[in-house]
Amino acid sequence: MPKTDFEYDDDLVEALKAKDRNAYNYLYDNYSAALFGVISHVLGNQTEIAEDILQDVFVKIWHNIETYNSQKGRLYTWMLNIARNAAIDTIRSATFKQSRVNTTIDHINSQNTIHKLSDNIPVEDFGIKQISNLLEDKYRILIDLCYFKGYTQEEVAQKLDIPVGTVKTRLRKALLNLKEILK
Amino acid sequence: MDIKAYISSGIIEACLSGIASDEDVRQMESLSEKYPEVKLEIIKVQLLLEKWATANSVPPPPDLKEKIWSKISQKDNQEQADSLPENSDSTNLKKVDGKETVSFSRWKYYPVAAAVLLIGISIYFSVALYQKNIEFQKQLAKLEQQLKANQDSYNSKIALYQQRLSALVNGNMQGIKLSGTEKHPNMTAIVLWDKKTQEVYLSLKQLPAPPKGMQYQLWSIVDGKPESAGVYESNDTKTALQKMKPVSPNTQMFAVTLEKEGGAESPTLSAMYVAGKI
Repeated sequence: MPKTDFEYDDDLVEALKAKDRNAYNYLYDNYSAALFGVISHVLGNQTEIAEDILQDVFVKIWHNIETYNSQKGRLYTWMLNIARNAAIDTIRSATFKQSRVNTTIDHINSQNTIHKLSDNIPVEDFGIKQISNLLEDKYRILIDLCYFKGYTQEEVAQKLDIPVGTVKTRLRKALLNLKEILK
Repeated sequence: MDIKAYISSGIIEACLSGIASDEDVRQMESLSEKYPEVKLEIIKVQLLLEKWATANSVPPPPDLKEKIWSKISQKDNQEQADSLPENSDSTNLKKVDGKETVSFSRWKYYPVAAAVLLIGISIYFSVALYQKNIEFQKQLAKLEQQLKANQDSYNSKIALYQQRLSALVNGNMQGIKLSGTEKHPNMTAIVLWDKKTQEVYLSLKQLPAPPKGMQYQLWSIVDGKPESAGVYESNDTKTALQKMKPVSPNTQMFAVTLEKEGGAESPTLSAMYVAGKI
């Protein structure tokens, strides 16, 4: 009886390397929503593009599974990073920049303007669910900039007008805060 | 390196959120090899970000599942097709002034030579790797065998302890503390007596390990006469709780003496260590 349920990462990775269809089904059923959530968050309201990116992400996962090394990190995290990077690469691409609609988020993406973010950002644009609303504004904005927008520490420090060291310590606080909420 | 400071600086969170430099990430990875606290913190942060991603899930449109699968399997088939070798001519037919000449392009042989060399090298490495693999397989098999042997012995130990435990945990158990004699004033031992089955368990935790050739022996005193309840077999007095022979329900007292290996017919009174009345 072929395996359809993969309780352990190791088994799933092995099955993926063997190009097992059951592994794909399991992967899709259990992780596609989380990956799509990350992609959608980065893209904003552009669902069609988000769908294309999700496809590319699965293709990447499937074809690069040999490069996955469990010593370096968890499988789920590895996949999330693939999704995140694919989405960020897209919003930074020239073709995307030409086609997008001008929203408040674009001001943030633009390299030329530096805004004090606490004033400009309407919460609804992020499309975050209820849980995240419990997170303090300043923490949510920080996690968004760091995780979903692909900036460096220095860029984030600049945008928030805080020292680089503070970016890291505040990010840590933000994630600790998040841990409390997610418990 | 002050690991506590490293962890509280938030650099791990930065690395895993993608805002740190490649160098920072490399440093983190090497530190995680060295310090388990760092490795643990990395796992914790990963789990947290994963939970966050799960909480922000957005289900994609249902038709995507099949669509993506066909794209994936299409690519798989394409890769297989691409790997088939193509035939190529090393000669060119040129028409020059009405005559057909064959121009010999020597350059075309270089890639072939390079390919042959590469194949040769890769064969060498394949063989080396194959041999290494065999070696590893052998070692792995050996370790697996050892592991199984350990597991078997642990399993049988566990079974024994479970048996003991279930025997001990019943309402019929009476505990009798045996106190030290004049010669051994601070010694103690414990007898557990199952009043229903008359089975007796002895714990000699406090007593020193017996010298070579000697063993402790348990006696039950009935109507003033000592009856042997068996010899304490284990060399390890610290941990073992040993089941002894069943005793008479009329036992009035227990005592432990040190006898020659195998035990004695009657107790050597001068070698009595502990005793206790019911």
